[in-house]
Amino acid sequence: MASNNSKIGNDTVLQWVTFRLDKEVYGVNVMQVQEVLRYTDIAPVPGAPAYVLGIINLRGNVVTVIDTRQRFGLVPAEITDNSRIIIIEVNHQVVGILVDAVAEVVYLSQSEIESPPNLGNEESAKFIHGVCHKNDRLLILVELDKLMTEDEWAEIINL
Amino acid sequence: MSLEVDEEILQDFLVEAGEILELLSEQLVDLEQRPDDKDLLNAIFRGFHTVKGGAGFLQLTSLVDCCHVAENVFDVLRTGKRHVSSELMDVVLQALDTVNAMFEQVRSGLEPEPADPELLLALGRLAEPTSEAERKAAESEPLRSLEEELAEADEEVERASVGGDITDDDFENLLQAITSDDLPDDSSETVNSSGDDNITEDEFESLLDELHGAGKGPVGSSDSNSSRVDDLDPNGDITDAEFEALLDQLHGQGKHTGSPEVSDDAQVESESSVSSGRSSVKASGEEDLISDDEFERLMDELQSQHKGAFAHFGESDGSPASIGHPDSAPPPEVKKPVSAQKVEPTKPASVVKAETVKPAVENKPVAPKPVVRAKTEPDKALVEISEDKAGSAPVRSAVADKAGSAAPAAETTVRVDTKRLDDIMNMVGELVLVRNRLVRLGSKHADDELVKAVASLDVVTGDLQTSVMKTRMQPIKKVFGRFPRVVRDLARTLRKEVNLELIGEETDLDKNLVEALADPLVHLVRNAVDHGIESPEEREQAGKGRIGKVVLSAQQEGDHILLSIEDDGAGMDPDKLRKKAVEKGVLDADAAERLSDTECFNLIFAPGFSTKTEISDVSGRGVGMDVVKTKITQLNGSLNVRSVKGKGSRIEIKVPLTLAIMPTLMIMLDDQAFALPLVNVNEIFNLDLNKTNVVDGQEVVVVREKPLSLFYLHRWLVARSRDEKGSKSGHVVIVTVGTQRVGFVVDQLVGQEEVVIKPLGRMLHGTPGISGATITGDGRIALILDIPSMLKHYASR
Repeated sequence: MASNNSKIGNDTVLQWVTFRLDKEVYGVNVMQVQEVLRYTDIAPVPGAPAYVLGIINLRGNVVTVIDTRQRFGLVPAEITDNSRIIIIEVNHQVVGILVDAVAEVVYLSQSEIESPPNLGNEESAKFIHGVCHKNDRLLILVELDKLMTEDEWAEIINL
Repeated sequence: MSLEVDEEILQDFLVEAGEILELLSEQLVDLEQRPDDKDLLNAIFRGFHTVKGGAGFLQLTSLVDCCHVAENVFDVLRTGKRHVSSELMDVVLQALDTVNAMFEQVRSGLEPEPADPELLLALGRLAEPTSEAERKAAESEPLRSLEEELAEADEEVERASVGGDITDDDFENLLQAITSDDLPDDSSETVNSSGDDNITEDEFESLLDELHGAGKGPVGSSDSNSSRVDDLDPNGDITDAEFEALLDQLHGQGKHTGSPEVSDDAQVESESSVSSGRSSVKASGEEDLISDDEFERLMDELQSQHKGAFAHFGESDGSPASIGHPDSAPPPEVKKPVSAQKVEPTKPASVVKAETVKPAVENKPVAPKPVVRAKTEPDKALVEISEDKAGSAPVRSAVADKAGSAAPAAETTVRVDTKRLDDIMNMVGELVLVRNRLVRLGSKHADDELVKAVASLDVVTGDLQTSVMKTRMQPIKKVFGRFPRVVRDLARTLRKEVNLELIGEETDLDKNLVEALADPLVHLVRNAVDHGIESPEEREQAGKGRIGKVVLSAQQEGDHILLSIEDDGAGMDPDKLRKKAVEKGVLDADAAERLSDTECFNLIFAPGFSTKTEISDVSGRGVGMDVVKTKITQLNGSLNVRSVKGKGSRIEIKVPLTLAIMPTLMIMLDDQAFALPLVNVNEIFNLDLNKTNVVDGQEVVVVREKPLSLFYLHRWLVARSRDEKGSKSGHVVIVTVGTQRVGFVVDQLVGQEEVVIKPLGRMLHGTPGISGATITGDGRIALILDIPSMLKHYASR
């Protein structure tokens, strides 16, 4: 892990919070992460879109929690002691994403980020910002803005 | 944003002018009832004037123009040179509409469009006094010559001012002319031995006219001590220091007696101060009201001239450079005794003034008296000056009202952004939840101390909640205020005679509610006038008075507000409604037959339903009532229609006091909590689930001989539905939705709880059947059910 925060030339160094889902490690921009919570009871919302797990009480505020596994086209998994809810803010909207585990914060310079391979299923490809090879690991960087779009929401309403 | 003005100033203007305009529409309608009310006329005049002042500062020229002519009309009205007629009111109301329209344009960031020139012309005509001959006939005999002379003087002034600023010489000449003209008139008319050291109302008016003609008064000077205009307008208004200096000079003038040519100095002084305000005046266009201090100065000048100029002060006093440095003026401590002895005569002076008779000695101290007060508290001095003189001349009382109402208001109220209030409300909501939690915890422990502490927390939080809620409360007058106008206009268009009665205007309710209720109420009131009230001829045939009555009332009923719109018109005919419903395809004939009368009345809320065969400006599209219904439902309110054919209709609206907190019935389905709005909940009972019948595939239960559809909320709202066949009995909650009553079978009843509504995130916004979420006393989440939407979504499957 590169703990070097300095700028190399014009290369911007970004910090990413990494989390694990299934067997892969993903990263989200640290600027979008508000906090990480232990798993708490999620109240399901009848009639909500399938990828919405439900809502939680975050110190008096109601926060929607997204089933990241479902969104990424993964099979559902049991909640374990490692399960975390990452509270993120995207487009002034606070949402939680349920992940299997949260690992660490890594520093990546812009040049290290490669564009994603044009493979994989379409469902998840939309959210991939890029990938990064670091220390023999493949880190998938998630574009949270694309995790939910107005269009998609409109689609869901019209179903 | 096409307007290049400071956003903050603009916002202030929008808020303030918005309030004034709202008030104006009320006052204008009032005026029609009480056309001779001087105070009202003055208030309206001031309203237009203040809006004009603000608009002038923001260089909204078209708004200024329109306000200006309207103001002129009222200037003429309040001086009694013209009387209120309904034609005049039509034009003025039209002007107000135009101003409002412009105001809306400004609000949306556009440059206001110039007013219809025809309207301006019409207003301009009305701003002329009612013809010279008429007026003269109306005036008393001795005053006639004076009037003529004044008119001449006016013309002179106007001529002089055409070229721009009036010169010192002109001004002086005019003053001389007026004062010398006054001499014979006054002496012939009054019993004053010393002649004419006093000004009459007419003289005063002429002075006003002069200033008006010269167009030199500072912008916004009428509210010099009240509004933000002066803070924002460094040129347009004199500062406190300057004001004091001027007062000092005046004081000196009143105190010393001396050389006769001093009156010139006085004029120089007034000129100089007038010119200091000139720059801003030019920016904002014409100006026709003088400020308090100018008024005082003019009074002094007149007095000193009549007296043979007893006042004296140094040359330096008269020059603009010395303003703010009253070196030659006597020190304050000298003034105090002087004014003290003169306070007494001042009051009688103003009284006598109104009768145009006044002894010389009493008149003299008018200016000195306020000086001392001004030394200490300039703002208050203005109030007091004007109060002393209130009633003598219209302008003076106008100043008095303005100052009198503005000064205390500034001290007792604070304008707070609603966002901030919302935040506080939110936090208090949180506190309420924590309290609920503690109350629950406390009930589990038998600790006396804890129970006491929790109990007092309970009380304090309750009080806090109420107080914060009250900060958001506004009297419903804000909405009601517009109705006299709405009814008046509508009645005129429809040629009906309608009296609107407002009851309970002072009832307070949540600000958001006040705003949200405005539209539905307008619809309902319009409906009452359009559909309810018959034409005067029909009314007479039906044995009623020609004038219809619409009563709009508001009252608090527990934690609800009950609004009602009642008319004594034709009422509704259930059979006609049934027929119409079948025609419009809203219902089939059979269903229509089975409807009770009450259900028939509720048909009027159905979309596309209208009994009118022709679509007019006023109604007939069948949209209005649907909008009303939707809006009220959104507000967690309910609607109720009662009508007796031939007697009238009454529509009742029940809305909660606030939108932030909602009383609910907490229920459990499996281990999830749900909240049913208590407004909808009718009754709760325990049911043997085997005693249900199935009608047309729908499970029903008979309650008091009426069948109720029965729905299992569990099946709708819980994903992993278990088999309910096992349970023999269940709790049934009967809810009312519109006129429909249905039963919901729930697993467990928790009880009544006041909840703070938390909106769902954007992703979940619009989820059918769910209006929001809340956090229960034990910190868990409960979903708040939106019963109509839930029924629509699930029951129709």
